[in-house]
Amino acid sequence: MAAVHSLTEAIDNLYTSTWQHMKGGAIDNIFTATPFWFWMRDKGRLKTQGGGRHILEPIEYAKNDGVKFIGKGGTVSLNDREFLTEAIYDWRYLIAPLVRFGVDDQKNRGKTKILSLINSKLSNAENSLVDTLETTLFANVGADGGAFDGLLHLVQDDPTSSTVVGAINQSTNSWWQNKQLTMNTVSFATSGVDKMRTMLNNVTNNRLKDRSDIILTGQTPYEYYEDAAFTKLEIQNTKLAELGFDHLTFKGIPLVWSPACGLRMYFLNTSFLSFVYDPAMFFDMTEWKPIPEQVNDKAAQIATACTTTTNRRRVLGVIHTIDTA
Amino acid sequence: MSDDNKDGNDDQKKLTDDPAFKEMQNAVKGIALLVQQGQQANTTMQENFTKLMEKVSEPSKKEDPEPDPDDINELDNVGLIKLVVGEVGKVVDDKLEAVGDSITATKQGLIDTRLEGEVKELMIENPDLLDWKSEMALISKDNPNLSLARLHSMARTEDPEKATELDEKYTESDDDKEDKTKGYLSLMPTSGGFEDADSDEKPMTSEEAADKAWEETLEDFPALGSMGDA
Repeated sequence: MAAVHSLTEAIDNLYTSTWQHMKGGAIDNIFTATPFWFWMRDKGRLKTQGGGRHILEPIEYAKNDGVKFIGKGGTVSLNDREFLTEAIYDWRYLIAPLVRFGVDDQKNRGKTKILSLINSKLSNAENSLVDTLETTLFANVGADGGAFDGLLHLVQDDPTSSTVVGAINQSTNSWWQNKQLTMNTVSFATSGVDKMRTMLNNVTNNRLKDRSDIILTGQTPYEYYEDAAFTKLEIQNTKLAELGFDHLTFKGIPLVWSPACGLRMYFLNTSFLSFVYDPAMFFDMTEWKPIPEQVNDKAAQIATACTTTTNRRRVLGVIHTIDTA
Repeated sequence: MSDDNKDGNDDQKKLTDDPAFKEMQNAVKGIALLVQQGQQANTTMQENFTKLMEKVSEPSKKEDPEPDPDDINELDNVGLIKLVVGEVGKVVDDKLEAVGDSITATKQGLIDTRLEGEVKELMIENPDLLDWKSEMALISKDNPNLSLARLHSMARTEDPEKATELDEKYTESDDDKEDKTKGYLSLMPTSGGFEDADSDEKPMTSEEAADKAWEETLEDFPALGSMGDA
C-alpha cells in the first residue's frame, strides 16, 4: 500500500527546500542591497562565531608608557602595564516570520500556483530582512526589543554621556569615546566641507590605518555635499559604481547615503566594525509549526543569530544635526 | 754365584745370539724411530700453522710506506710522484664519494616521487588502495616487478569479500554527499550551505530554487505531481 502523505506536509517540505536552495542568493541580495552592508561584506567584516554566551572583542586601550629613549646608564620601567581589555556584546536574534494559511494551501494547487505562492512569501521575507537590517543599522540599542547595536549607539552624538557600549562605560573611559561634531544651525554650504575635513582628521589622527574607509549619511546631507562639492567631484569608487550605488567621494573616501540615516554623517573605519553571525543560525528557516486554534494554519521563521561590534570607537566619528543647507 | 745363575746367563747368551731375535730387535728400533720422526713433523706443522695464522691476522703491512707530505723537500722524484698521486687520489676519492652519495639520493628521490605520484593518481580512482597495503606487499614479494595498479588489482581479486566491503564503504550515497554541505551540527533544517562571496558557484534565484525543491519534494511526495493547477 502506498504511503499516505498530507498536502500540508509536502508544502512544508517545499518551503524549507526552496529556502535552502535560495538562501545563498538571498544572503547575497541582503548584503548587496545597500552600500554599507555591501561594503562590510566586501571588506570581509562579516565574521562567524559558533555559539558562545557572548561575543568578545579584544581592545587595546592604552599605549605602553615604558617606551622611551635613554641616555648612558638610563633606566626603563619594567612594569607590566595593563593595556588590553574586552568589549562584550550579546547575541541578537533577527527573525522574519512566515505564516501560511490552510485555505491558501487548499486553493492553490498544482506546481505553478504552489511555487508562485512560495516565491512571493520567501521573496517578501528576503526584502523585509534587507529593510530591517538597514533601519536597525541606524537605530539605537535595544530600542526594538533586543536589536543589535546600531550606529546611533556605537557612534554617539554625545560620547561623554554615561552609556555602556560593549559593556564598557564611555563616560569613564575616554579612550572608548567616538568623535563627534555638530552642525546645528550651521550652513553646510559654508562650513560643511570644513567640518568634514576636521572630522576626518580627528578620527584619523594622522595614522593611515585609522583613516575612515567609508562615509555614511542621509539623503539631505548627501545632497548638501553634492551641492557644495559639485565643482570638484572626484573619481568614483569602482566597486560601488559597478553595483550601481549612487555615491560621491570625499578625499578619496566613498560617501554613500541611506534614507534611514537622517541628518547625520558617519565617518567609519570598517576595519574596526564587524557583523558577527552564527553560521548555524544564519538566515535559516525553522520547521513549520501549527498555529494554535487556527485550523491548518502554520508558522515558520527565518532566524539569524548576529550582532554588530566595534573594538576601536575613537576612529569612528559622526557629524550630527546637519539641518541647514 | 750359584749354578742356577750360571745357567740363566747361558740361556740369555743363547737368545741374543739367535738371528730371529736380532731381527725382531732391529724392527722395534725402526718403529720407535718412525714414531719419533712423526712427532717431530707434527710439531713443525703446528708451529708453521700458528705462524701462518699470526701473519694472516696481522694488518697488511705495506712494503713501501707512503711518503709523508711533511718530508716533501727531502723526497726523490719517485717519492714525490708517489706522494702527488696519493694526495690526488684522496681528493678524487672524496669527490667521487660525494657524487656517488648525491646520485644515490637523487635516484631514491626520483623513485619516491614517482611512487608518490603513482599512489596519488591511483588513490583518486581507488580510495581503498591503502586498505590493501599488506596484501599488496605480500604479492610484491613474489612478483617484485608488478606495478602498484596491478598489485592492487591482484589483491582485490584474491579477496573479493573484502573488496565488496570496501566498495560499500567508499561508495557515498547522494544523501551523504549532500549532508557534507550542511553545517557540522545543524541547528535548523536549512542550516549551513551558505557560500562566502568568494565562491565561484552562482547562487540560485528563487525560481530556480523552487523548481529544484519541487523536483526533490516529488521524490518524497509523488502524489504532488498529479495535482493539476486548479
